[in-house]
Amino acid sequence: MSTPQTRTFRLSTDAWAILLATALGLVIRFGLLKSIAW
Amino acid sequence: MAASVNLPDLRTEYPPHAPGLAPAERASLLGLLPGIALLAVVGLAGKFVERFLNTWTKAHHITFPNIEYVLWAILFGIIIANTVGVPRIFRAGVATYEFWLKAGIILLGARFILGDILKLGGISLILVFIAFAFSLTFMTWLGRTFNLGPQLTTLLAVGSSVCGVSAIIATQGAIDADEEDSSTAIAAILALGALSLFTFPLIGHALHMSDRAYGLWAGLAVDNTAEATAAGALYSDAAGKFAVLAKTCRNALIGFVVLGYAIQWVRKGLASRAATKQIDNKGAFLWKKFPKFVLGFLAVSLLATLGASSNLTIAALGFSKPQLVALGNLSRWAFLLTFAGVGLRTNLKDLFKQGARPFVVGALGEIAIAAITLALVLTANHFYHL
Repeated sequence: MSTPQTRTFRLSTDAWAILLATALGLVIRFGLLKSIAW
Repeated sequence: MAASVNLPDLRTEYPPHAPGLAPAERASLLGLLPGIALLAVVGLAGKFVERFLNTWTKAHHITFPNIEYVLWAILFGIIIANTVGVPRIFRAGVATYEFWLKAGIILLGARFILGDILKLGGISLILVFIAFAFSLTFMTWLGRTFNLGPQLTTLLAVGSSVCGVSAIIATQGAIDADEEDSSTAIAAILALGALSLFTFPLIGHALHMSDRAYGLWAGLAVDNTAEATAAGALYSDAAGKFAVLAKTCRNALIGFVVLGYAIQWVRKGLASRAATKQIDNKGAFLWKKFPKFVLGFLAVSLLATLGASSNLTIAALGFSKPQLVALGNLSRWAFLLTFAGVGLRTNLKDLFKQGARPFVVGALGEIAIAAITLALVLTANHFYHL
């Protein structure tokens, strides 16, 4: 009988930062967010 | 087969980052939220105080220098961390400050065109090489004079010349240094980084340095990326931008420096079998140690450069001006969270409980490196009008 295996998926901080920046870049590039105040 | 996805592992070790201490617990995305909210509250409180002071002093006709929110955010963080402490529920989220730092640097690419990066990056790289050669020689001499072990001396030299904590951690494995040596080197580098936050802007203002020159100096002399970014931003928003650029150049060199040390250790016959094996494939070793977020920074800058092209077809591939402003502001928000994290993770007790000798060696080395990089930047400024 096989036991269920758990596979964990982990990304480095660099990869997460690149993913977040890509998502934000796409959101802004395609006009979903027009401007961000500072 | 059941596949569970643990999202996300954004944390680094919670203060004082020393290897061997228990790391922050793994947290789910939900578990990170309280700490991230705390970063936002502390950062926003800093921003509020900056605005309030500006408005209030103007309304009362008081001449008062503009103090960037960065200082308030860091101070509030330090006060919280060293008085009431950061409760457990916030720790995992607070430790994400390094993630926000990297995201902020990538997005900061929107405020640079590639030409600027190549010019200033090229100058920075030359200055980094000179400063590195100097600091290596000086730190080795200091380490011998103060009877520190070769491993600890090497870690202090790498930490003070290349890139702070991550360089120390990367080198630790390559030269088989023990955890106590790296904890001591990390504590010394962090303590001196905290001190530089308060001394660098004062020196910059006293010398009437331009934003570019000051930013380059902070990026070249302050060791940890978060502290270098903060030291630049404490001077001005523009100086913060140039500090990040210079620091990113230093970060990009980390793999080469660690590889150099690893090879030297193997040649001397001091390396363990595991440490020797990891440099068999030098290309893979360099790629592993290369900070990948630098690629994101360059990619965003490329898109900013394309957007500024006079050729409409090429410009359509990149970001428009309003889009770049939005990305630049997102980068500022990410840095706001980072600076709050810098304060919240500064544990004064831990920073000063290390032995006096490594701290003295670190401090003397840092002062010498700060002085030589200042001289280098002022010379470069004279010839290249930075």
